[in-house]
Amino acid sequence: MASGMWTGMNGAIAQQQRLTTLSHNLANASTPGFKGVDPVFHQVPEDASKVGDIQQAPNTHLPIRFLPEDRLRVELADRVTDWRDGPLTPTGNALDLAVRGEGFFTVEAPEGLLYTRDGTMSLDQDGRMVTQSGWPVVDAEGQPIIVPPGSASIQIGADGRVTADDNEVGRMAIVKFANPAALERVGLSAFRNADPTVEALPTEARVEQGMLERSNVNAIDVMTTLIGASRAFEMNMRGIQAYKEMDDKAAQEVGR
Amino acid sequence: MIRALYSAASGMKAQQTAIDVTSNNLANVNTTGFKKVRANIQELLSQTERAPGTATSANTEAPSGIQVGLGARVASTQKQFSVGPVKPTGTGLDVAIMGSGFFQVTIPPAGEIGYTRDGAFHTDENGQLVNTQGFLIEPAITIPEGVVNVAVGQDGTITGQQEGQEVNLGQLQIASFVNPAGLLSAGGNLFQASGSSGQAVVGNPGENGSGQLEGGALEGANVQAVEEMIQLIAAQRAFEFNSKAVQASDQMLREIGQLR
Repeated sequence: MASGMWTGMNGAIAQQQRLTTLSHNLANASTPGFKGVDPVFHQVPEDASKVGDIQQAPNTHLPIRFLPEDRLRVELADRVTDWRDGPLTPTGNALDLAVRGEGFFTVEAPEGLLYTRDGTMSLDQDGRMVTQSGWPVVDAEGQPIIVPPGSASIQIGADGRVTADDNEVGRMAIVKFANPAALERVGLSAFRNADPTVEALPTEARVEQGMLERSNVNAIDVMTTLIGASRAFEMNMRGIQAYKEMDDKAAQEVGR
Repeated sequence: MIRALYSAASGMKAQQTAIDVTSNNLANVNTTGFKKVRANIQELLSQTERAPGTATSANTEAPSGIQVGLGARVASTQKQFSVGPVKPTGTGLDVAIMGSGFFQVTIPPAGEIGYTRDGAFHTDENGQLVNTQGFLIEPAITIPEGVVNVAVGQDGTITGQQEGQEVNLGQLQIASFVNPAGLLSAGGNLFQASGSSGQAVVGNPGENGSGQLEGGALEGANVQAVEEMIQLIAAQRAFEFNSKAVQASDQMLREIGQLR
């Protein structure tokens, strides 16, 4: 059984993992506040001690150096978030918000504070401003923003100030991070700051009322990578098939 | 093959941005003072496999090399500052600039200066001159109660009539820039100065190369609908050609995958 067959399988699995991430991006091509994910692959030595070894081939005097590539396999190293801004589209809803610039809304989930760019807000039965997952938006002290029931107009200023019927009811905490790549993706378009030493910083980003930030997934990029990935998968399969044919020949014809 | 795939994808993305720009121009074909934008597309860098002029033997050189380009990208979206058509409206506080230059407004709450070509001015409850969004015009001009027949002269002086007497209410100032295309679009028909636009040079209308003012008129958008439609067709076809290149690459990759 040639080891090259396992290399082929390894490559095919890597392309499948790439395809999984691409499908996830495509599925979220119109999710507000969605940030695309790029898979990152790296090569891992099967057995680190064998890399670059000079091995004596049996019954010869010549050393055969195995190429390090024979002993490497491809592995999914990381899923990196693409932090580019998605397009901002006007919707006309007073409770649709978008952050223009670098910044997140701060929301309170049962497990702690989360950060999101998804600004589709609603009011719950107590008048708190909540996201579509039911998490209340909080201000700089962690208190929810409560809009008095029956308010005719809700205005949200560029700095996150919420005004209901000309009375200020709170100011949303819009924050940014020095290194957004360190934030953890928890799904539902939200991110968590897992490192307590990293602080949320104030930002000059403006909040736009009546607009939503759409997904930053570019369909053209996803489709062309998809073509590349599915063809690479096919070629890996052909490689495995070639090994199978060689083994078949060895087993069926040479052995006779 | 993979290079062709990604080159074609970059072409499609560049055309997509070009269509976005054209579409924005068309959406603003009736916006007062709107300046159309043009997407400048540039080729991406090339990979050199053999440089031209490499020696092919002891005393000969290759007359050309092997360089493969990697696609296209949008280098810049450039605002075109040609003057749009000026339409008389008959409203005394409508002003158009018959040439280059910008009106100045103060943007609340921080008070930074915004620049605009949109001269549809109004008075607020205190009689101060404001733009359509309610931002104060800089320098601040107040129209006292009881003043009628307000008109703007060619040099920017605003005059009115109070109890039969003519009164001078102030003079509008115009800001000029070395590189207006470098201004930042701030939305709401406003621009802001940036590092590449240069400093604003403020003066009376007609000074510093700025145009004189025309009261009772508004400047329309400088968008030519026909030109934008041709752009749209050209970009759409280029997008299609690039998608054919993507399909061809896909076919060829499939052929490779099926080699026996």
